Amino acid sequence: MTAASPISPKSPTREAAPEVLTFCLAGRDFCLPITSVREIRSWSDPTPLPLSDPSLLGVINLRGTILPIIDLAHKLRLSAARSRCDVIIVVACAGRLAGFAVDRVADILTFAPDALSPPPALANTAIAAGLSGMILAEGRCLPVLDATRLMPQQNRDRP
Amino acid sequence: MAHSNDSDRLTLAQRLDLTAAASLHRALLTHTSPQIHLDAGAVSHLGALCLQLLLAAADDCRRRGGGLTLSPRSAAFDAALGTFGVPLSRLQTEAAA
Amino acid sequence: MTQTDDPLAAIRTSFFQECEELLEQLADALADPAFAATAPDQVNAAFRAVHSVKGGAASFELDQLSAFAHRFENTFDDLRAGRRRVDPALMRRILPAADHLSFLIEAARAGRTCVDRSDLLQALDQSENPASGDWFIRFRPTAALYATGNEPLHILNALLELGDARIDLSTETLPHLSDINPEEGYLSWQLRLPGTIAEQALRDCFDFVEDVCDLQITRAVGPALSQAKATADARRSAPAAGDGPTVRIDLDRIDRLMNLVGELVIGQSMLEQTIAPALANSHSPARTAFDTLTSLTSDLQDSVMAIRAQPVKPLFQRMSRILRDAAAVAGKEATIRFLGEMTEVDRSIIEGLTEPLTHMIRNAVDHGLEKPADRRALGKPTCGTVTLSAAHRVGRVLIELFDDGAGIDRARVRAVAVDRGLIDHDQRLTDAETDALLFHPGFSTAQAVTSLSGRGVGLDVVRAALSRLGGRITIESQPGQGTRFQLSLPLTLAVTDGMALRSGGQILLLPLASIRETVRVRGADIRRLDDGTELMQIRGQLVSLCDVAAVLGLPESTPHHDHSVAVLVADEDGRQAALIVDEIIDQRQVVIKGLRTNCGPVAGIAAATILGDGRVALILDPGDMVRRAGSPAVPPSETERLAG
Repeated sequence: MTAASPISPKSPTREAAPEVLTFCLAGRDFCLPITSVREIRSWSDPTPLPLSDPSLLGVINLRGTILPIIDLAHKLRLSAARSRCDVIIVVACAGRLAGFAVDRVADILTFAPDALSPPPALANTAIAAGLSGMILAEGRCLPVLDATRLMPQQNRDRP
Repeated sequence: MAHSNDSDRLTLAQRLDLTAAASLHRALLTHTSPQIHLDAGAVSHLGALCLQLLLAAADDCRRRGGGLTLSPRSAAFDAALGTFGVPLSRLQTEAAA
Repeated sequence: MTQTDDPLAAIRTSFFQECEELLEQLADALADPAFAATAPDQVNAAFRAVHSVKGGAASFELDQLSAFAHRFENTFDDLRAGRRRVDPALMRRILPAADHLSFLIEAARAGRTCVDRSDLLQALDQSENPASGDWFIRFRPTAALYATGNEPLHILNALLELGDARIDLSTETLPHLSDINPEEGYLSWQLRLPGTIAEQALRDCFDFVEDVCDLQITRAVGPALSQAKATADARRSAPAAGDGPTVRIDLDRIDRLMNLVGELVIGQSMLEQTIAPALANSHSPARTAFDTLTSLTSDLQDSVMAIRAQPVKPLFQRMSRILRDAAAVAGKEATIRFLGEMTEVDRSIIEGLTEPLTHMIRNAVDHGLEKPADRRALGKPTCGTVTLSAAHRVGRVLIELFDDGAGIDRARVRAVAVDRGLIDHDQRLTDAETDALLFHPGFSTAQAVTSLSGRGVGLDVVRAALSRLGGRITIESQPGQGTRFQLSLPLTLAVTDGMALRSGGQILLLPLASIRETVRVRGADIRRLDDGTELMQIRGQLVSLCDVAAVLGLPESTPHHDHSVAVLVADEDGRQAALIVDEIIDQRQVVIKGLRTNCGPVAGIAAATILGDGRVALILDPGDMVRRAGSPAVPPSETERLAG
């Protein structure tokens, strides 16, 4: 099994100073609230699932849990082709787990609550659908993704 | 150890422990009468070594057609017999009582 | 044993039926937590039940039964009268005695005698020696003990403080007074103390003298010991009923533990592959250490499984009630008999068995057992017997249901099958093939529509339910003698037997329970219909083909079926399809991992498992594959468009 660098789920999540994990996806920066991130793993090839959403790359074994791997760049329609990813961000929300395939993980940032603004209207509806807000601080504009909206859909019955 | 001079009567010492065993043994052996009367009224401790002497003496008396009688008996004496699992009848012969 | 024209026989039969109810009342009373607190209602109920058994047994001169019931009843009488109270030790003795009472009833019904277990009753009488055999101590002081100033009197007094003891003095070796050495020890003692005392407490009394005396501390032989053995036996078959303290554990925690053990097994096989060169030499230290690890892991797995396991007894007891109700409605006399009811099965399996067994019991009463008058005419006891048994067989649990009824009416089954168009009127079938028609969806031979049958519920439902549990069912029938259903089930739902296949460059698993047979595909056997559906002739039967890789849209599907392998599978309703795969790899046991929680529903896939190399492999859903067979495959490109 490949090395994993767990992030303590007990990271301080004071209201005053939320933390986010920033990462790079198809050359652009995004971030996820640290509270939804379980761990960061190096890449392992997923087993493809039949007749599934093409942004669902397949499943891997996360210490016994079957973890779906989502091609985030594809899901957000940032690239047409499946991107070559090196890192999996394991996210947990609403009792479910998923792995987001990203290019690389950058940093953990703490920002002031007033730096967070609601999501703007975007031309890329796919990004807009997965966005919970924007962080505007220190001259940067960082989209904050909502992990729940990017998870595989639960009650979809395909032919 | 204070013995009565009476030939068939023996007063038992207060503490019948290891140190008393040898003298009790001698005292019992000097009583050749098949009938021995023991006074256990002052006994505060009856140890196993002295118990076995009394048991042997009782058997001895029986073999010679007599028996032991124990009277009076202190509470400590009776309690010790109980602990040792010795019924009084084992020492004291019916006929002799 | 039954004289058909004997009025006494009928009364006798009703007595045994009543006994069953009484046993249930007894079981209920004993199971009530209030009984453990000597609550009068429950104690009275237990007393009345045993008392009634005694009364009936006495009037039928069933001496062994009435004698046992009489003495057993005394225990409850003592409880009623407040002479005793229920404590855990007494509970542990009452339960085996209650079990034995039911054995005695069973034996009396069959006209047999039973092994004498008055030891169970003796154990009940000895309230002072609870859990296990009494302590038995032999103590013989030597001269050294006395010489060191120790005194048996103090030791014996200390033992007496621990509990009621029986003390016996032995003077066997005491010489004549004249031969006595006054400093030598001639006396020895034998003591019997309650088994509840900790051995260490006993040993503490002999502190400092153990090396200057002859001392033996043992559990006493006698009734108390045989009770201890009975308890040990009971524990082997039912850990939950064993003595010793118990804890209640949240099921989730056990499942988590089970998952972790599953991980351990996988981790171990990954390790094995990684260090394979070091393990090649069977005498290498690595090999030895690894073998030790393997056996420990396997023991650990068994132990965790054992925690989840439960005896099938409560399930069987529920069936007893269902049988009674069904018999009453059908106007039949029936009694149930259990074998191996302490057999342990994973709770998930037990839960899943309730429904199919209920159907089967009703089916046995409805279609198996004859009406009392018919049975009498056949010279059979008017009361039919349904035997439910459970046993472990090579990693599976085998449940059998046997009724001593009429057996399968094959002519009628055949007629119905022809009538429903299931078979041609001139089709030749073996007995086994005819019997298998019973499992066909919707098949029912019920002549009268009752509240039990006529619901359109047939044995196909039973088979479907068993199949969901990874189970198989077989039927065997002798006309006039009865019918036997055999259910073979996995010990747990967390592990399944699967066949590993290769298709479209992936390893897939197929539950073994769904597989009928495997055949090599020859192009000549394949027929193609106009709509693109492909059929294959297997043993004279046309079965739709299902190319697994194509149907699932796997990347490397091979266009030609020649030289591939067809695996004939059946869904829960018995519908078949031939799955085309590239290769059959092997059969193996796999740990089932749920997919749905994280991935949602996945087409054609029931669950996943983890292979030895740590990769995920998918477990096919045979039912879904059969449904997909015949329907043209959706090209992956189209799927992608639909999903986008």
